[in-house]
Amino acid sequence: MHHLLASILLTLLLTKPLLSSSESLTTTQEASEISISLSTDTNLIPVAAIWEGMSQEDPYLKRLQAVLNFDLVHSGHVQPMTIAREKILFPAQGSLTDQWKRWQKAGALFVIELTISPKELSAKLYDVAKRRSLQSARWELEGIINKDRSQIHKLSDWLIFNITGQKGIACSKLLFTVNPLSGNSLKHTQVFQSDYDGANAKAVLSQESLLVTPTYLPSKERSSRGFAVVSYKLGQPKIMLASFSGALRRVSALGGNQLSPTFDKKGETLCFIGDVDGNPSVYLMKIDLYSGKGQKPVRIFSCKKATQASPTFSPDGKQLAFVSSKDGDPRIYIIDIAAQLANPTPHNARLISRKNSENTCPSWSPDGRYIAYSARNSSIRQIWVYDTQNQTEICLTEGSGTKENPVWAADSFHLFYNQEMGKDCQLFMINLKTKKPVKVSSVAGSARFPSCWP
Amino acid sequence: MRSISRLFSLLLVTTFTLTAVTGCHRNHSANGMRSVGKHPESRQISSDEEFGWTYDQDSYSASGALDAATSQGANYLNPGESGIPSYERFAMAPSELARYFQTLYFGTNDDVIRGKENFAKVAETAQYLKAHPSVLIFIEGHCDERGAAAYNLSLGARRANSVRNLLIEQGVDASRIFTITFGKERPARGGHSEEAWRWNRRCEYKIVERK
Repeated sequence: MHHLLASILLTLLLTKPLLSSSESLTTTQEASEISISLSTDTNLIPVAAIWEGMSQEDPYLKRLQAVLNFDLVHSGHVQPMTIAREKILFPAQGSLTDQWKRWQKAGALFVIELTISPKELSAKLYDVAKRRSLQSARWELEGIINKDRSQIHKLSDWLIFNITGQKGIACSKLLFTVNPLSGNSLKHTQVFQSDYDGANAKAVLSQESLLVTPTYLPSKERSSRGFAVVSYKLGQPKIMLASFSGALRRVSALGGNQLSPTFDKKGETLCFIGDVDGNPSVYLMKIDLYSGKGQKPVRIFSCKKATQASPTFSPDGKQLAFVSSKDGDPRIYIIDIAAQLANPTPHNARLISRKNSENTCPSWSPDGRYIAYSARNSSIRQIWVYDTQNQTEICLTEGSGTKENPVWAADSFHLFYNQEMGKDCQLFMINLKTKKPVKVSSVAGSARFPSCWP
Repeated sequence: MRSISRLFSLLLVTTFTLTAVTGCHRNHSANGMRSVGKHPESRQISSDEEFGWTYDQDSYSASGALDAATSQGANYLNPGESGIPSYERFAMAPSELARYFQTLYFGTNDDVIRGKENFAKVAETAQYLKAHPSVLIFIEGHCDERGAAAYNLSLGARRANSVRNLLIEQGVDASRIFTITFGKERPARGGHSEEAWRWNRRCEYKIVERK
């Protein structure tokens, strides 16, 4: 009897890992078909809005409403409600207590009372559950929709913060390259900047050469001072620092090709791919962004028979994630910078992308928890997210269209990426909760390599 | 009852043994190495020997990396500076020299020169360059459309450097050879088929005679 029980126990203990691995294989194989949720609450907070002060039919008001609606719908936190106006409005007679009850009955958890005049906008936020209200600042309006959009975005961020405690991203900016669809695209690439929703897109750099991978320069100021970009103006691709006033200067006199510039959060160190030694390797360079002067670059990672690409810093600046083909397919690895500098060997790199083939363009989230990247799954390149807390890889996007170059917004919750659909390529935004992508660019040409500020 | 329990125990042990053996077999690829990931070529590197070369600590020390690299054929000089013509001055070889500068082609995700035909082409190029020391050469690395754009820029550089390193090994002066990557930005042929892709995974040459 003892013999039988021991055999059963031994068999169960030894076969359990195999069963687990086959389950994970099933999950892996069906990753493109099932939706694996990250550990966030998928319930959106119902919010109702009342606009007072202008005719509801005013075209200018309707455009402002559309901007606010887009911000709230795609915040990933709230769900604007469609409620009959009379159910939301304060009645001519009645107490505030009655009003709370009416709102509660309508299903709204928050009500926004917006007061607008041609010159000014303000808001009062009512928390229905806690029965308290909060008054916003006043934002000046100019009556020009392209300018007043920014005030609506400030309002949106204020609302999201006070409803959820999370920072909003409506005031973010996007930087990206645009190649014309026809003609010699290598001669007419431009760098564009737009609002996070694609509005107010305008060229900030035009060259008669190829431009790729622009990235905002880190700064503690409210707006970015400039960006780094890889330019082919000098023949070989070189990293340039560009200001929004048009000034352009080369970062280093280093020979060879320079690619994929990225900065640490402090803006003190530049990391890039260089092939000065005869192979595309990962380099670090101390830099003063104010003077544009850099110290001698130092090679931090190389593997003689492999291709390295697309480095990204951890937010604390102590680690790098990057792509290497040292084990066959391009995969994503992490190295500790100090340890690697002390002992520069390919063996220190820790593999994180295990599920798919051709893992590329990693981007580390500002809170340090996630690394987003593009990986080929069932022949389509999708956006994946690696969770550093539990070492899991989660597919964020689905459907046709090659998706690449993910970049995080400041809230570590929204991502921007470019998606090809035939000849067209545009920018999309997605968040970790709803996972519903929305197109945020409409340029005439191929929009790629997004960078997000802040 | 005792014989039944013994039979059951034997069955369980046999089942366990068979499962362990077949599981191990599934987890190893044909060359005996444990495979990871979905791609059939992927495998975990476990020793220095698998890299095919020895990692030279001194050559790759952080502080000396660039200084050491200059003596190993580094792509140190910049066209357009120090008397070197800028990239725009380089052009495709004229028809009478085309046989010495033939385009080289690569397999998918590959960056290694393979095949007698390709090696013969490189040998011809090296022979010409050694015989004409005033000729400078740019090697352009290209990729097909399927890889990610950012990665393909690095892969194009890797391909160009593979050719460059081979030319240096065959005796061409490193200071005369420059590389440039275009990734998948400049395809030779349009189309979305293997037929188009194979013509785009390439290295091309541009030359200039320094006067």
